[in-house]
Amino acid sequence: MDTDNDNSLDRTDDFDNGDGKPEKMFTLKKWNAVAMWSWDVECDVCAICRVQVMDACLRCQSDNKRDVLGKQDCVVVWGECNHSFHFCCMSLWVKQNNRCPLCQQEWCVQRMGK
Amino acid sequence: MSSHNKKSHLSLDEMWKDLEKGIIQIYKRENKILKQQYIGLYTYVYNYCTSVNQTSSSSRPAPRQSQAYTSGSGGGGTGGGAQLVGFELYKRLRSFLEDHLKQLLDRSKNLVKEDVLKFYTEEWEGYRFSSKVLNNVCRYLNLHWAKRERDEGRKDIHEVYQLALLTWKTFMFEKLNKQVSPAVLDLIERERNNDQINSTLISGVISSYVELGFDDESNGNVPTPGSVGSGSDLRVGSVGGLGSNDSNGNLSSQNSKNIPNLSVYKQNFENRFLADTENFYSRESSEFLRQNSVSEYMKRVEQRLAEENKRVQLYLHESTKTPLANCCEKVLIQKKLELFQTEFNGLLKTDKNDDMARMYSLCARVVPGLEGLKTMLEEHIYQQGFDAIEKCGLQSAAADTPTTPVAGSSSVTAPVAEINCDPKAYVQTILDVYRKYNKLVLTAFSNDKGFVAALDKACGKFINNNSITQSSKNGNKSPELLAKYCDLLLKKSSKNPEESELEDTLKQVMDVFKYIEDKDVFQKFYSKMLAKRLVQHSSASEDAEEFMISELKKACGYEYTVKLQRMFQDIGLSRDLNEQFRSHLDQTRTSSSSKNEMDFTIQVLSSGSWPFTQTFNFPLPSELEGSFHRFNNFYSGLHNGRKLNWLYSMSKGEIVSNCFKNRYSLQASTYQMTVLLKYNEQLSYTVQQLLEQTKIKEDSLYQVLQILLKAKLLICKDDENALTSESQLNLFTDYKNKKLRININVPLKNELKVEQEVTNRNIEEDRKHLIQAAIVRIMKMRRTLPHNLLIPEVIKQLSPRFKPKVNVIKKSIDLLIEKEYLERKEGQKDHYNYLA
Repeated sequence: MDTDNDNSLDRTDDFDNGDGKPEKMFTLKKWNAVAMWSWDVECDVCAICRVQVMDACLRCQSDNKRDVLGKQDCVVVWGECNHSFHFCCMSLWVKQNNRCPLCQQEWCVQRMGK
Repeated sequence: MSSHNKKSHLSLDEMWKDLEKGIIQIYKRENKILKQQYIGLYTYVYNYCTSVNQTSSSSRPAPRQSQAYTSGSGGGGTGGGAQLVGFELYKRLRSFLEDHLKQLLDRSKNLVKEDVLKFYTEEWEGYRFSSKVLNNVCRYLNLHWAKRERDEGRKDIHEVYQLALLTWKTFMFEKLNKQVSPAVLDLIERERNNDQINSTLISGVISSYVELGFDDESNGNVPTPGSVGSGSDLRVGSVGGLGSNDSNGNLSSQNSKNIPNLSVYKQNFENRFLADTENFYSRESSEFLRQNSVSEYMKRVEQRLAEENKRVQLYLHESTKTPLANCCEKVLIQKKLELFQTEFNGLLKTDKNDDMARMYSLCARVVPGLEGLKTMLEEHIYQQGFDAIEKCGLQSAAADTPTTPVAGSSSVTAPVAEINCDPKAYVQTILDVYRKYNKLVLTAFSNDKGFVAALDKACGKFINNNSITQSSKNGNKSPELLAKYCDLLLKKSSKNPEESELEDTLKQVMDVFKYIEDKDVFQKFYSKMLAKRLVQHSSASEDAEEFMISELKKACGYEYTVKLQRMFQDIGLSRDLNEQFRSHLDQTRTSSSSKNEMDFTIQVLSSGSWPFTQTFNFPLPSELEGSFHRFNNFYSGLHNGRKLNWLYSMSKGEIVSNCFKNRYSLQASTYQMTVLLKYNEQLSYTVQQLLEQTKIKEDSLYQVLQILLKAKLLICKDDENALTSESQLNLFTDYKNKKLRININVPLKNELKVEQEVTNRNIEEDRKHLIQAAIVRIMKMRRTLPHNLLIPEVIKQLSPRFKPKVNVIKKSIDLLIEKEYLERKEGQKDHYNYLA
């Protein structure tokens, strides 16, 4: 019963704040969320250079001058077959063979990572 | 010129009468020789030499005539006559000098010791001076007769000055040196015994000995009469002063030319001098040490070495410098090395830096002198470091016991499972030892390479292997504590030092870092703590963070810090992203959405770079869901092909209470917020109900509830540690706290444990990969390699990062053989082949 009294007191205070609805026990003020992004891929590793698609491909890594924004430069590409590779790796690959290295389907870009 | 003609017909006897008179005057050195007289004497010689030529040939005695002489020398004839006449004058000069010196020698008969020296040096100076004058008087003879004779191979003919020296050598030096040399040595010994001596006596003798060394035929080195130039400068009266200046000038001019022939000096003086020196100092050193300490002895040696060096400069020939120094060093230092080394330990223990510096400079002079000192220094530093850390460990263990964290206190610290050494104390202890001996090496041992190496070796040893590391399970406590110390420095706190001071401290951390063997362990811990600092916005200074990363990059390269850098970038990108999201919301916001909406921010991190693991997912409470969806939509519009994985365990928020006496603002984790928000609907739940409604994983929920009970926001009849699914949890409406802002966000125990385990497991996993990669790299280059060469090369290649264990390398080799990267060579089982 006491708790009810307390709550009603508080509630009257809160009416002064101009909020029409009765105040709840707890109100959220702030939420600092943390999230991780990753490429939406079936396989974490690029089959061409054997490096995680989240990391820059081998070529970009050895070219480590680009470390400031290296990440953005080495994006992932998906084919119609839904297989995915580093864009750098794949653009070299298709020059030789315009098929997906994994399923041998004709390579056709479905979407690009951004 | 008129006088030429008048006297040109004079015979040798007539001419010699006048010439001898003049020469006697030159050698008496009583009166000045006037310029006129000097010219007169010169003319006698000139006339004599040319008159003979004139009878034989009408041409002038110009240099051109030399051709006629050389061509005619074989046939004798007129040329022979000229030679004969030159030789006549030469013979007379020689016998004059011989007689002169014989008379002189008679005067020395009853002289002893110093008086002999005095006589010898004085007469030498005078004789030398007079002979130079004579040489100039006989210049024509030298140039046109003696030189030619020598050119034709008559090596027993000399220029007049050399003739005089040679005569002196035969008639004075050889008679007297048996007395002179011992007297010189005697004088030097007296000076060593602190008597005042007249050092010009010695320098006179020495310069004479040096100059007399000319006549060695094989050397062909002939001293010239030095600076005595044209006759007009000459004043015979001032023999003494001029002579001594002259002798110095002559000595140095000889040195600057060819290497002088010092056989006379060496045979008659230097050899005996060195032997004497050795005797003197071996006697003195053992006597001195009987009565004095080693440090006194070292001062004495230093002083003696300086004295001897000065002695050479003052009155010995400079070629003696090295042999004399070698001789002294042999007797005074080399023979006492053992004594020095025993003393060195004591000096180290008592921090007698000056004495150590002295000992270093002395021992550095002899060849194996420093080896013993280096090993002793290394052992001493190691022992000091080891002891200091042991003490530090004991102290912090003692300090640990009373300070168990108080339950329910508003700032609950993370519970630490292991008994830990305080990172700050630990690193400071290391730094104290390091700095002390670094300074010692710098000042006392003039940063000698060998001593720096000894310091490095000792530091590496005690930093990586001490009582603290031995007490921990996996032995890589040092990198962990160092990383924790960095965290203390870089985390926002009331004790943060100034920016510049912070950089200095971080530089000191790098001093310790370079000795850490398991740099990969440091990297793991550092990145974990950096991640927390960045995500929680608890860095004291962004510049300092960047500084430290760049220092690590300098030390270990790009690869070592690439993830740290990417983490750093992500935070910057997230800042922009939040900005974009906010303006996006402003544009799309409809008037209906309440202004009372909670404040939402997010940090989007790239997976793979951050040491976070996804724990578990649960349906968000509706209060949070809106923001979640809004952001997900916004993000997928912004990017392509990305998926977002929300880390609720890392997310946190602020929740305001309306149900207590005061409006408290609670800093809470997403789980805590979820549970508390449930109490908006009703005031009491069983654990089971909460579990069903929040869908938080059971063991995590229990811990969340325990923390809320501890913080007294909830109450329960059951003990917080004995909760069951039936326990009834009520909101504690009488909640009170002195503060209005309360942090109840304590990391969950099981998350901490998982993190720790993941860290350790990751280290082992990563190492296996690195070892395999190293083996493949090496084998790809070498193609074939025996086992016992491959192992050390792998260790060498990886040692900048960590020290691989041999059995792990072996396992990796087996694994690589299985994967067909390598094969065992047929016939040679211990050889491996690389398979492309």
